Amino acid sequence: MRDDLEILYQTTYAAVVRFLYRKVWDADRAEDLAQEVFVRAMAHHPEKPRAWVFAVAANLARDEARAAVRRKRHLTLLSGEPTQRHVAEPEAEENVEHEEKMAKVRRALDALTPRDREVLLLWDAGMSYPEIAAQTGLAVGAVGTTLARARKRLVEAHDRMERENVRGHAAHS
Amino acid sequence: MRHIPEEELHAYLDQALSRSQCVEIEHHVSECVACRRERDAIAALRDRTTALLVTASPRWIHSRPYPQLAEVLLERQDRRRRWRRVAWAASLVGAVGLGWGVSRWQVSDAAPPAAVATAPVPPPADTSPTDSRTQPATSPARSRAPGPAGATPVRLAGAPRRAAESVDPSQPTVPAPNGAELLSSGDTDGQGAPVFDGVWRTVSWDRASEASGAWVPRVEGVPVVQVKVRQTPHGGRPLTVVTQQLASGEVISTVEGPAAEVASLLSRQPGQSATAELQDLPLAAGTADETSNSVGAAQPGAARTLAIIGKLPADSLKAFMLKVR
Repeated sequence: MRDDLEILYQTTYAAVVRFLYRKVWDADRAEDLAQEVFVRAMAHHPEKPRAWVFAVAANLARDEARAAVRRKRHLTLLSGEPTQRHVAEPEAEENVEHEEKMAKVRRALDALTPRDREVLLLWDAGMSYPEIAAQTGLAVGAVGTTLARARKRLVEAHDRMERENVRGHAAHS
Repeated sequence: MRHIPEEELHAYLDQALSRSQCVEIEHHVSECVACRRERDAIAALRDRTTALLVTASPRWIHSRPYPQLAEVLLERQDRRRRWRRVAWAASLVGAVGLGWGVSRWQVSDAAPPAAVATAPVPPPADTSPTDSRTQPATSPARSRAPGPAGATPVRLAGAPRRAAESVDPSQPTVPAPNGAELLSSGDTDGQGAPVFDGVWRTVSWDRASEASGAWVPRVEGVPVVQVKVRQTPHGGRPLTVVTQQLASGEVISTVEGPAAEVASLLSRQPGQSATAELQDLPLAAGTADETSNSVGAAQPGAARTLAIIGKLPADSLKAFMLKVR
């Protein structure tokens, strides 16, 4: 059992981190949560470890999002004024470009319904249709339909932002 | 010709279909230009989605070696085990404390069923206030007598702590009703004492002595917690019930009154399982006069009976009967 889990850790850890990163948008936090998921898996020895790992990861990400909302509200209450934004250090052009691209994808993902987003992220993490169906409560036959809609909407939302960005740059110049 | 639905092409490209379904789709696509175009468009969409999601990934992913995770788990389990031990010890201490508190504050309902010891007692032939034997608590001889309750004060549920702690086992300690007599319908006794029907007055020791003609029987040396009196239908000396609490927390009630009424009361006591007739036993705490009076006055309708009720074995009640004054 432990050997199976170790193999799962080696083959799935990165996918779990990516899955969590697209929910919490913090690389360090995503790694911490992913490690927490595998530590819990070692303690529980689940029957279907792969599905279990992603289910727990989704729950942890949800808890994290709630805690973040609470933290934000608390800070706002403490300061009595909007929280200050973190001012990033000047970064290399490459990094800036990457951040911009990522921000667009993030906004495009945010434009999806929670169910479409979940199905898309689970599919990208390598989950099969039956596993996705089991985790989301959808029928296996509905996974294909949901995935088709999610892919289309993600690309549409992203392209729309690209067009708006181009128009914005043109207006500035 | 049926074209292949969009979601089926997604599933086909995601390798989520059976082998036979894949063969069917591939056969159709090789012959249908529209479906081939649709398949290619979906494949492109799929690739774009994957590319976008790759952009939304951390630039570096660090992972701990697997054995380190096992160490984290072991450390966590060890910590949890320690906490469990602490919690277990704390709950044990709490449970013991609670049990001790409950046993000290309450008379358990699960005690043995009530047994009753009865004996005919003398009528109030001598109710003279000059008779020192009938004076409560103030007799030097009585105050010297060591009671079975020992020196440990016992508190009752609902009884004021300070009052209970100041109990002198050799002195009757009747809760003072603040000058006013409390009326109760008998079945409101929350101290574990037997339930008595009818309208009873909870009175102070002095008032009880006055009402009963200065003779209120009780077990010597046991703190008195309550005195109740009830008028008899034919007038005369009332029925008295003196409730006393033993060091063990058990409550005994000494009932004295007309034989018929006492018998009627005893017949209604729940859990009454033993009755000890003490006619043949001498009343140690009483005098020869009292004993002879009781025997001599045991006429129908005029006799009075003394009974001790408590959730104790009959032998214990008989022993208490010998200490009745």
